Amino acid sequence: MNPTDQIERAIKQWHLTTSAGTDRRILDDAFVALEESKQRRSVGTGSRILQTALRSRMIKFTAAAAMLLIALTLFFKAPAERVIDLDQIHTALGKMQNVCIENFGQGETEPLQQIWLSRTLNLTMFKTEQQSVLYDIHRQVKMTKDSASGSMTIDRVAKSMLAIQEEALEKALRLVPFAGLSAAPKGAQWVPVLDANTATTVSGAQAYDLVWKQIADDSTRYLKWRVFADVQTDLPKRAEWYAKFNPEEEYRLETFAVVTYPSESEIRIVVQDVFGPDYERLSEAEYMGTPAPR
Amino acid sequence: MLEDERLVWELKRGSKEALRRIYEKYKDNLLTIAASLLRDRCGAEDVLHDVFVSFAAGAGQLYLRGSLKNYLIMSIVNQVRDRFRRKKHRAVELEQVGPISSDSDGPEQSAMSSEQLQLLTEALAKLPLEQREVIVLHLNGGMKFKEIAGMQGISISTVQGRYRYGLSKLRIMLNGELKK
Repeated sequence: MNPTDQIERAIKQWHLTTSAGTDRRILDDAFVALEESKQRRSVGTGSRILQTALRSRMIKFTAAAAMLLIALTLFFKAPAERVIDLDQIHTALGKMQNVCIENFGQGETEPLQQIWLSRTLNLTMFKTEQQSVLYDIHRQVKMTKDSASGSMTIDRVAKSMLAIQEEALEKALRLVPFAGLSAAPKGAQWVPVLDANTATTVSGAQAYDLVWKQIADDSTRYLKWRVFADVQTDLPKRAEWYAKFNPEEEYRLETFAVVTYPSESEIRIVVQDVFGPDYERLSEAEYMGTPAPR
Repeated sequence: MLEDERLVWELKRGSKEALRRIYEKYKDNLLTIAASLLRDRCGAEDVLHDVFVSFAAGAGQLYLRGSLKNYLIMSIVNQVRDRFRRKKHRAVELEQVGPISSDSDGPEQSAMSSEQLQLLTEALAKLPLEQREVIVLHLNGGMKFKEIAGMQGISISTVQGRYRYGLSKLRIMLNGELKK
Protein backbone atom coordinates (compact mmCIF):
# COMPACT_ATOMS: atom_id res chain seq x y z
CA MET A 1 0.00 0.00 0.00
CA ASN A 2 1.49 3.36 -1.01
CA PRO A 3 1.76 6.32 1.42
CA THR A 4 -1.08 8.22 -0.27
CA ASP A 5 -3.42 5.26 0.21
CA GLN A 6 -2.39 5.10 3.86
CA ILE A 7 -3.14 8.78 4.36
CA GLU A 8 -6.54 8.47 2.67
CA ARG A 9 -7.37 5.42 4.78
CA ALA A 10 -6.22 7.14 7.97
CA ILE A 11 -8.41 10.21 7.34
CA LYS A 12 -11.38 7.99 6.48
CA GLN A 13 -10.93 6.18 9.79
CA TRP A 14 -11.35 9.40 11.72
CA HIS A 15 -14.55 9.11 13.65
CA LEU A 16 -15.67 11.31 16.50
CA THR A 17 -18.74 10.72 18.60
CA THR A 18 -20.73 13.35 20.40
CA SER A 19 -21.16 13.01 24.15
CA ALA A 20 -24.59 12.58 25.75
CA GLY A 21 -24.29 16.06 27.25
CA THR A 22 -23.61 17.61 23.85
CA ASP A 23 -26.55 15.74 22.32
CA ARG A 24 -28.85 17.02 25.04
CA ARG A 25 -27.65 20.61 24.71
CA ILE A 26 -27.96 20.66 20.92
CA LEU A 27 -31.32 18.90 20.75
CA ASP A 28 -32.84 21.02 23.54
CA ASP A 29 -31.84 24.22 21.76
CA ALA A 30 -32.89 22.86 18.35
CA PHE A 31 -36.33 21.90 19.71
CA VAL A 32 -36.78 25.40 21.11
CA ALA A 33 -35.80 26.86 17.72
CA LEU A 34 -38.26 24.53 15.97
CA GLU A 35 -41.09 25.57 18.30
CA GLU A 36 -40.32 29.26 17.84
CA SER A 37 -40.22 28.73 14.10
CA LYS A 38 -43.66 27.11 14.19
CA GLN A 39 -45.05 30.00 16.21
CA ARG A 40 -43.51 32.58 13.89
CA ARG A 41 -45.03 30.89 10.87
CA SER A 42 -48.43 30.82 12.52
CA VAL A 43 -48.39 34.59 12.87
CA GLY A 44 -48.94 34.71 9.13
CA THR A 45 -47.54 36.59 6.25
CA GLY A 46 -49.01 39.90 7.31
CA SER A 47 -46.28 40.61 9.83
CA ARG A 48 -43.58 39.61 7.34
CA ILE A 49 -44.87 42.08 4.81
CA LEU A 50 -44.96 44.71 7.51
CA GLN A 51 -41.38 43.93 8.57
CA THR A 52 -40.19 44.25 5.00
CA ALA A 53 -41.95 47.55 4.63
CA LEU A 54 -40.47 48.85 7.85
CA ARG A 55 -36.96 48.42 6.47
CA SER A 56 -37.42 51.61 4.55
CA ARG A 57 -37.05 54.79 6.61
CA MET A 58 -39.49 56.66 4.44
CA ILE A 59 -42.07 53.97 4.81
CA LYS A 60 -41.42 53.78 8.54
CA PHE A 61 -42.80 57.24 9.05
CA THR A 62 -45.82 56.62 6.85
CA ALA A 63 -46.42 53.26 8.51
CA ALA A 64 -46.24 54.82 11.96
CA ALA A 65 -48.84 57.40 10.95
CA ALA A 66 -51.02 54.71 9.40
CA MET A 67 -50.71 52.52 12.48
CA LEU A 68 -51.74 55.44 14.66
CA LEU A 69 -54.75 56.03 12.47
CA ILE A 70 -55.69 52.37 12.56
CA ALA A 71 -55.23 52.24 16.33
CA LEU A 72 -57.53 55.22 16.75
CA THR A 73 -60.10 53.66 14.43
CA LEU A 74 -59.95 50.40 16.37
CA PHE A 75 -60.32 52.27 19.60
CA PHE A 76 -63.51 53.98 18.58
CA LYS A 77 -65.02 51.35 16.37
CA ALA A 78 -64.98 47.55 16.28
CA PRO A 79 -62.98 46.22 13.29
CA ALA A 80 -64.86 44.91 10.31
CA GLU A 81 -63.24 41.48 9.69
CA ARG A 82 -63.39 39.91 6.28
CA VAL A 83 -65.97 37.17 6.40
CA ILE A 84 -65.18 34.07 4.38
CA ASP A 85 -68.27 32.38 3.03
CA LEU A 86 -68.86 28.72 2.25
CA ASP A 87 -68.60 29.23 -1.51
CA GLN A 88 -65.14 30.75 -1.14
CA ILE A 89 -63.91 27.78 0.92
CA HIS A 90 -65.35 25.32 -1.58
CA THR A 91 -63.80 27.21 -4.49
CA ALA A 92 -60.37 27.48 -2.80
CA LEU A 93 -60.33 23.76 -2.06
CA GLY A 94 -61.41 22.99 -5.60
CA LYS A 95 -58.35 24.77 -6.96
CA MET A 96 -55.87 22.75 -4.92
CA GLN A 97 -53.94 20.11 -6.83
CA ASN A 98 -52.79 18.10 -3.83
CA VAL A 99 -54.58 17.57 -0.55
CA CYS A 100 -53.97 15.43 2.54
CA ILE A 101 -56.93 14.78 4.87
CA GLU A 102 -56.41 13.08 8.20
CA ASN A 103 -59.65 11.87 9.79
CA PHE A 104 -59.84 11.48 13.56
CA GLY A 105 -62.47 9.99 15.82
CA GLN A 106 -63.76 12.07 18.72
CA GLY A 107 -61.06 12.25 21.40
CA GLU A 108 -58.48 10.45 19.23
CA THR A 109 -54.96 11.71 18.80
CA GLU A 110 -53.96 9.32 16.02
CA PRO A 111 -55.82 9.50 12.69
CA LEU A 112 -58.24 6.70 11.89
CA GLN A 113 -57.65 7.28 8.21
CA GLN A 114 -55.31 9.35 6.08
CA ILE A 115 -56.28 10.31 2.57
CA TRP A 116 -54.00 11.73 -0.08
CA LEU A 117 -55.45 13.21 -3.23
CA SER A 118 -53.30 14.35 -6.09
CA ARG A 119 -54.73 15.78 -9.27
CA THR A 120 -51.30 16.21 -10.79
CA LEU A 121 -50.38 12.57 -10.14
CA ASN A 122 -53.97 11.49 -10.78
CA LEU A 123 -54.20 9.22 -7.76
CA THR A 124 -55.92 8.78 -4.44
CA MET A 125 -54.46 6.87 -1.51
CA PHE A 126 -56.22 5.76 1.65
CA LYS A 127 -54.27 4.58 4.65
CA THR A 128 -55.55 3.05 7.88
CA GLU A 129 -53.76 1.11 10.58
CA GLN A 130 -54.68 -2.14 8.82
CA GLN A 131 -54.07 -1.41 5.17
CA SER A 132 -53.25 1.09 2.48
CA VAL A 133 -55.12 1.35 -0.80
CA LEU A 134 -53.88 3.27 -3.80
CA TYR A 135 -56.05 4.09 -6.81
CA ASP A 136 -53.77 5.01 -9.68
CA ILE A 137 -56.40 6.47 -11.98
CA HIS A 138 -54.03 7.03 -14.86
CA ARG A 139 -52.92 3.37 -14.95
CA GLN A 140 -56.40 2.15 -13.94
CA VAL A 141 -55.06 -0.01 -11.13
CA LYS A 142 -55.74 -0.49 -7.47
CA MET A 143 -52.88 -1.48 -5.19
CA THR A 144 -53.57 -2.79 -1.71
CA LYS A 145 -51.00 -3.38 0.99
CA ASP A 146 -51.72 -5.19 4.23
CA SER A 147 -49.89 -3.43 7.07
CA ALA A 148 -49.48 -6.50 9.27
CA SER A 149 -48.20 -8.99 6.70
CA GLY A 150 -46.72 -6.52 4.22
CA SER A 151 -48.39 -8.45 1.39
CA MET A 152 -49.43 -6.45 -1.63
CA THR A 153 -52.06 -7.04 -4.32
CA ILE A 154 -52.59 -5.27 -7.62
CA ASP A 155 -55.90 -5.26 -9.48
CA ARG A 156 -57.24 -3.58 -12.54
CA VAL A 157 -60.08 -1.30 -11.48
CA ALA A 158 -63.51 -1.16 -13.07
CA LYS A 159 -64.34 2.08 -14.84
CA SER A 160 -67.19 2.74 -12.42
CA MET A 161 -64.78 2.68 -9.48
CA LEU A 162 -62.35 4.91 -11.31
CA ALA A 163 -65.15 7.37 -11.91
CA ILE A 164 -65.83 7.41 -8.16
CA GLN A 165 -62.17 8.14 -7.45
CA GLU A 166 -62.10 10.87 -10.07
CA GLU A 167 -65.14 12.39 -8.43
CA ALA A 168 -63.38 12.13 -5.07
CA LEU A 169 -60.51 14.09 -6.51
CA GLU A 170 -62.88 16.75 -7.76
CA LYS A 171 -64.82 17.06 -4.55
CA ALA A 172 -61.92 16.45 -2.13
CA LEU A 173 -63.95 13.66 -0.57
CA ARG A 174 -66.78 15.93 0.45
CA LEU A 175 -64.67 17.72 2.98
CA VAL A 176 -66.94 20.69 2.38
CA PRO A 177 -70.49 19.33 2.73
CA PHE A 178 -72.06 21.74 0.22
CA ALA A 179 -70.73 23.77 -2.66
CA GLY A 180 -72.23 26.87 -1.09
CA LEU A 181 -75.00 28.04 1.18
CA SER A 182 -77.42 28.01 -1.73
CA ALA A 183 -76.72 24.26 -2.20
CA ALA A 184 -77.33 23.50 1.48
CA PRO A 185 -80.76 22.41 2.81
CA LYS A 186 -83.32 25.13 3.32
CA GLY A 187 -82.81 26.94 6.60
CA ALA A 188 -79.07 26.20 6.83
CA GLN A 189 -77.08 28.92 8.51
CA TRP A 190 -73.51 30.03 8.09
CA VAL A 191 -72.11 31.92 11.08
CA PRO A 192 -68.65 32.95 12.25
CA VAL A 193 -67.62 31.49 15.60
CA LEU A 194 -67.21 34.39 17.99
CA ASP A 195 -65.99 32.45 21.02
CA ALA A 196 -62.38 33.57 21.35
CA ASN A 197 -61.09 30.20 22.59
CA THR A 198 -62.58 28.32 19.67
CA ALA A 199 -61.74 30.96 17.09
CA THR A 200 -58.02 30.75 17.89
CA THR A 201 -57.80 26.93 18.05
CA VAL A 202 -56.06 26.86 14.70
CA SER A 203 -53.52 29.61 14.13
CA GLY A 204 -54.04 31.83 11.13
CA ALA A 205 -57.58 30.57 10.67
CA GLN A 206 -61.08 31.88 11.32
CA ALA A 207 -63.75 29.45 12.54
CA TYR A 208 -67.22 29.22 10.99
CA ASP A 209 -70.23 27.00 11.71
CA LEU A 210 -72.60 25.64 9.12
CA VAL A 211 -75.73 24.33 10.83
CA TRP A 212 -78.60 22.51 9.15
CA LYS A 213 -81.27 19.87 9.70
CA GLN A 214 -81.28 16.43 8.12
CA ILE A 215 -84.84 15.14 8.01
CA ALA A 216 -85.24 11.37 7.60
CA ASP A 217 -88.48 9.32 7.51
CA ASP A 218 -89.18 9.38 11.21
CA SER A 219 -86.43 11.49 12.78
CA THR A 220 -84.60 14.74 12.46
CA ARG A 221 -80.88 15.08 12.92
CA TYR A 222 -79.33 18.43 13.70
CA LEU A 223 -75.92 18.76 12.13
CA LYS A 224 -73.12 21.23 12.51
CA TRP A 225 -69.99 21.49 10.40
CA ARG A 226 -67.29 23.70 11.88
CA VAL A 227 -64.46 24.75 9.65
CA PHE A 228 -61.26 26.61 10.42
CA ALA A 229 -60.48 28.47 7.22
CA ASP A 230 -57.11 30.07 6.52
CA VAL A 231 -57.61 33.82 6.63
CA GLN A 232 -55.13 34.30 3.77
CA THR A 233 -56.09 31.53 1.37
CA ASP A 234 -59.67 30.58 2.43
CA LEU A 235 -58.52 26.94 2.51
CA PRO A 236 -59.86 24.70 5.26
CA LYS A 237 -57.19 23.71 7.77
CA ARG A 238 -59.45 21.75 10.07
CA ALA A 239 -63.07 20.59 9.90
CA GLU A 240 -65.26 19.19 12.67
CA TRP A 241 -68.56 17.31 12.36
CA TYR A 242 -71.14 17.60 15.15
CA ALA A 243 -74.62 16.12 15.54
CA LYS A 244 -77.55 15.98 17.94
CA PHE A 245 -81.06 14.54 17.82
CA ASN A 246 -82.77 16.99 20.12
CA PRO A 247 -82.69 20.74 19.43
CA GLU A 248 -82.34 21.39 23.17
CA GLU A 249 -79.16 19.33 23.49
CA GLU A 250 -75.58 20.45 22.97
CA TYR A 251 -73.96 19.36 19.72
CA ARG A 252 -71.65 16.36 20.14
CA LEU A 253 -68.39 16.18 18.23
CA GLU A 254 -68.34 13.00 16.12
CA THR A 255 -65.29 13.29 13.93
CA PHE A 256 -62.79 15.87 12.84
CA ALA A 257 -60.26 16.22 10.04
CA VAL A 258 -56.94 18.00 9.77
CA VAL A 259 -56.22 19.18 6.25
CA THR A 260 -52.84 19.99 4.76
CA TYR A 261 -51.69 20.77 1.25
CA PRO A 262 -48.52 18.86 0.40
CA SER A 263 -46.58 19.24 -2.83
CA GLU A 264 -46.70 16.63 -5.59
CA SER A 265 -43.25 15.37 -4.63
CA GLU A 266 -44.29 15.02 -1.01
CA ILE A 267 -47.27 12.88 -2.03
CA ARG A 268 -45.01 10.82 -4.26
CA ILE A 269 -42.73 10.21 -1.26
CA VAL A 270 -45.68 9.07 0.87
CA VAL A 271 -46.86 6.68 -1.86
CA GLN A 272 -43.38 5.29 -2.38
CA ASP A 273 -42.98 4.97 1.36
CA VAL A 274 -45.97 2.62 1.43
CA PHE A 275 -45.71 0.80 -1.89
CA GLY A 276 -41.97 0.99 -2.38
CA PRO A 277 -39.84 2.95 -4.82
CA ASP A 278 -40.89 0.63 -7.65
CA TYR A 279 -44.61 1.22 -7.30
CA GLU A 280 -44.91 2.70 -10.79
CA ARG A 281 -43.20 -0.31 -12.34
CA LEU A 282 -45.33 -2.72 -10.30
CA SER A 283 -48.51 -1.25 -11.66
CA GLU A 284 -47.59 -2.16 -15.22
CA ALA A 285 -49.46 -4.85 -17.12
CA GLU A 286 -47.08 -7.73 -16.43
CA TYR A 287 -47.80 -7.49 -12.73
CA MET A 288 -51.60 -7.54 -13.03
CA GLY A 289 -53.27 -10.13 -10.84
CA THR A 290 -52.21 -10.96 -7.32
CA PRO A 291 -50.07 -11.29 -5.36
CA ALA A 292 -47.49 -8.71 -6.32
CA PRO A 293 -43.82 -9.66 -6.40
CA ARG A 294 -41.97 -8.81 -3.18
CA MET B 1 -32.41 8.82 0.54
CA LEU B 2 -36.13 8.23 0.59
CA GLU B 3 -35.99 8.09 4.36
CA ASP B 4 -34.32 11.50 4.41
CA GLU B 5 -36.99 13.00 2.17
CA ARG B 6 -39.63 11.62 4.48
CA LEU B 7 -37.83 13.02 7.53
CA VAL B 8 -37.58 16.45 5.91
CA TRP B 9 -41.26 16.33 5.03
CA GLU B 10 -42.13 15.54 8.64
CA LEU B 11 -39.72 18.15 9.94
CA LYS B 12 -41.36 20.79 7.79
CA ARG B 13 -44.58 19.94 9.57
CA GLY B 14 -42.87 20.56 12.91
CA SER B 15 -41.98 17.01 13.97
CA LYS B 16 -39.45 16.94 16.81
CA GLU B 17 -38.99 13.22 16.29
CA ALA B 18 -37.90 13.84 12.70
CA LEU B 19 -35.41 16.45 13.90
CA ARG B 20 -34.06 14.03 16.49
CA ARG B 21 -33.66 11.27 13.89
CA ILE B 22 -31.85 13.57 11.48
CA TYR B 23 -29.53 14.65 14.27
CA GLU B 24 -28.83 11.08 15.41
CA LYS B 25 -28.16 9.99 11.86
CA TYR B 26 -25.62 12.65 10.91
CA LYS B 27 -24.18 14.12 14.12
CA ASP B 28 -21.00 12.04 14.34
CA ASN B 29 -20.08 12.49 10.71
CA LEU B 30 -20.73 16.23 10.89
CA LEU B 31 -18.75 16.54 14.12
CA THR B 32 -15.82 14.70 12.56
CA ILE B 33 -15.88 17.02 9.53
CA ALA B 34 -16.11 20.14 11.69
CA ALA B 35 -13.30 18.95 13.95
CA SER B 36 -11.12 18.03 10.96
CA LEU B 37 -11.55 21.51 9.51
CA LEU B 38 -11.26 23.43 12.78
CA ARG B 39 -8.90 21.08 14.65
CA ASP B 40 -10.74 22.01 17.82
CA ARG B 41 -13.20 19.59 19.36
CA CYS B 42 -15.01 22.20 21.47
CA GLY B 43 -15.26 24.57 18.53
CA ALA B 44 -16.54 21.71 16.37
CA GLU B 45 -19.31 20.96 18.88
CA ASP B 46 -20.28 24.64 18.85
CA VAL B 47 -20.42 24.54 15.06
CA LEU B 48 -22.61 21.42 15.18
CA HIS B 49 -24.85 23.18 17.70
CA ASP B 50 -25.21 26.32 15.59
CA VAL B 51 -25.91 24.33 12.44
CA PHE B 52 -28.69 22.27 14.00
CA VAL B 53 -30.29 25.23 15.77
CA SER B 54 -30.45 27.23 12.52
CA PHE B 55 -31.56 24.10 10.65
CA ALA B 56 -34.47 23.74 13.10
CA ALA B 57 -35.28 27.45 13.03
CA GLY B 58 -35.54 27.43 9.24
CA ALA B 59 -37.25 24.06 8.95
CA GLY B 60 -40.52 25.55 7.74
CA GLN B 61 -38.89 27.17 4.72
CA LEU B 62 -36.47 24.33 4.04
CA TYR B 63 -36.10 23.51 0.36
CA LEU B 64 -33.49 20.97 -0.62
CA ARG B 65 -32.14 20.79 -4.13
CA GLY B 66 -29.72 17.99 -3.29
CA SER B 67 -29.39 15.48 -0.51
CA LEU B 68 -30.01 16.28 3.13
CA LYS B 69 -26.56 15.01 4.05
CA ASN B 70 -24.82 17.34 1.62
CA TYR B 71 -26.95 20.24 2.78
CA LEU B 72 -25.88 19.65 6.38
CA ILE B 73 -22.24 19.20 5.41
CA MET B 74 -22.35 22.46 3.48
CA SER B 75 -23.88 24.18 6.52
CA ILE B 76 -20.98 22.89 8.61
CA VAL B 77 -18.45 24.13 6.06
CA ASN B 78 -20.09 27.57 5.93
CA GLN B 79 -20.09 27.82 9.73
CA VAL B 80 -16.42 26.86 9.85
CA ARG B 81 -15.57 29.46 7.19
CA ASP B 82 -17.52 32.09 9.16
CA ARG B 83 -15.55 31.23 12.25
CA PHE B 84 -12.27 31.62 10.43
CA ARG B 85 -13.41 34.95 9.05
CA ARG B 86 -14.81 36.26 12.33
CA LYS B 87 -11.90 35.38 14.55
CA LYS B 88 -9.21 35.93 11.95
CA HIS B 89 -8.43 32.39 12.81
CA ARG B 90 -6.23 31.97 9.80
CA ALA B 91 -3.57 34.27 11.26
CA VAL B 92 -3.10 32.19 14.37
CA GLU B 93 -4.22 28.77 13.24
CA LEU B 94 -0.79 27.22 13.06
CA GLU B 95 -0.08 28.21 16.66
CA GLN B 96 -3.31 26.58 17.78
CA VAL B 97 -2.78 23.32 16.06
CA GLY B 98 -3.26 20.31 18.26
CA PRO B 99 -4.64 16.83 17.92
CA ILE B 100 -8.41 17.05 17.74
CA SER B 101 -8.86 14.41 20.40
CA SER B 102 -6.48 15.93 22.92
CA ASP B 103 -9.01 18.31 24.42
CA SER B 104 -11.85 15.88 24.38
CA ASP B 105 -13.37 13.60 26.95
CA GLY B 106 -15.65 12.10 24.33
CA PRO B 107 -15.41 8.42 23.45
CA GLU B 108 -13.67 8.80 20.10
CA GLN B 109 -13.23 5.57 18.33
CA SER B 110 -10.27 5.63 16.08
CA ALA B 111 -8.29 2.83 14.60
CA MET B 112 -5.25 5.08 14.69
CA SER B 113 -2.87 5.45 17.57
CA SER B 114 -2.91 8.83 19.30
CA GLU B 115 0.59 9.52 17.95
CA GLN B 116 -0.53 8.94 14.37
CA LEU B 117 -3.63 11.01 14.94
CA GLN B 118 -1.54 13.89 16.21
CA LEU B 119 0.80 13.69 13.23
CA LEU B 120 -2.05 13.62 10.77
CA THR B 121 -3.91 16.44 12.51
CA GLU B 122 -0.87 18.66 12.48
CA ALA B 123 -0.12 17.90 8.86
CA LEU B 124 -3.72 18.49 7.78
CA ALA B 125 -3.78 21.78 9.67
CA LYS B 126 -0.87 23.06 7.64
CA LEU B 127 -2.79 22.70 4.39
CA PRO B 128 -4.64 25.71 2.97
CA LEU B 129 -8.30 25.64 4.01
CA GLU B 130 -9.55 25.00 0.46
CA GLN B 131 -7.37 21.88 0.10
CA ARG B 132 -8.28 20.71 3.58
CA GLU B 133 -11.98 21.16 2.78
CA VAL B 134 -11.80 19.05 -0.36
CA ILE B 135 -9.90 16.25 1.39
CA VAL B 136 -12.19 16.20 4.43
CA LEU B 137 -15.41 16.45 2.40
CA HIS B 138 -14.30 13.64 0.10
CA LEU B 139 -12.85 11.28 2.69
CA ASN B 140 -14.90 12.05 5.83
CA GLY B 141 -18.05 13.35 4.18
CA GLY B 142 -18.08 10.70 1.46
CA MET B 143 -18.84 13.34 -1.15
CA LYS B 144 -17.97 12.88 -4.80
CA PHE B 145 -15.73 15.43 -6.51
CA LYS B 146 -18.66 16.44 -8.67
CA GLU B 147 -20.76 17.16 -5.59
CA ILE B 148 -17.99 19.17 -3.95
CA ALA B 149 -17.54 21.16 -7.16
CA GLY B 150 -21.26 21.91 -7.30
CA MET B 151 -21.30 22.88 -3.66
CA GLN B 152 -18.29 25.18 -3.85
CA GLY B 153 -19.10 26.58 -7.27
CA ILE B 154 -15.80 25.50 -8.83
CA SER B 155 -14.89 23.09 -11.60
CA ILE B 156 -14.35 19.38 -10.99
CA SER B 157 -10.78 19.65 -12.26
CA THR B 158 -10.07 22.35 -9.65
CA VAL B 159 -11.47 20.09 -6.94
CA GLN B 160 -9.40 17.17 -8.17
CA GLY B 161 -6.32 19.40 -8.31
CA ARG B 162 -6.81 20.63 -4.75
CA TYR B 163 -7.30 17.06 -3.58
CA ARG B 164 -4.20 15.81 -5.38
CA TYR B 165 -1.97 18.70 -4.22
CA GLY B 166 -3.30 18.39 -0.67
CA LEU B 167 -2.59 14.69 -0.46
CA SER B 168 0.81 15.16 -2.03
CA LYS B 169 1.71 17.77 0.63
CA LEU B 170 0.47 15.47 3.37
CA ARG B 171 2.59 12.67 2.02
CA ILE B 172 5.69 14.89 2.03
CA MET B 173 4.97 16.22 5.52
CA LEU B 174 4.31 12.80 6.99
CA ASN B 175 7.13 11.18 5.08
CA GLY B 176 5.94 7.64 5.71
CA GLU B 177 5.12 8.26 9.39
CA LEU B 178 1.75 6.53 9.07
CA LYS B 179 3.27 3.16 8.31
CA LYS B 180 2.28 0.61 10.87
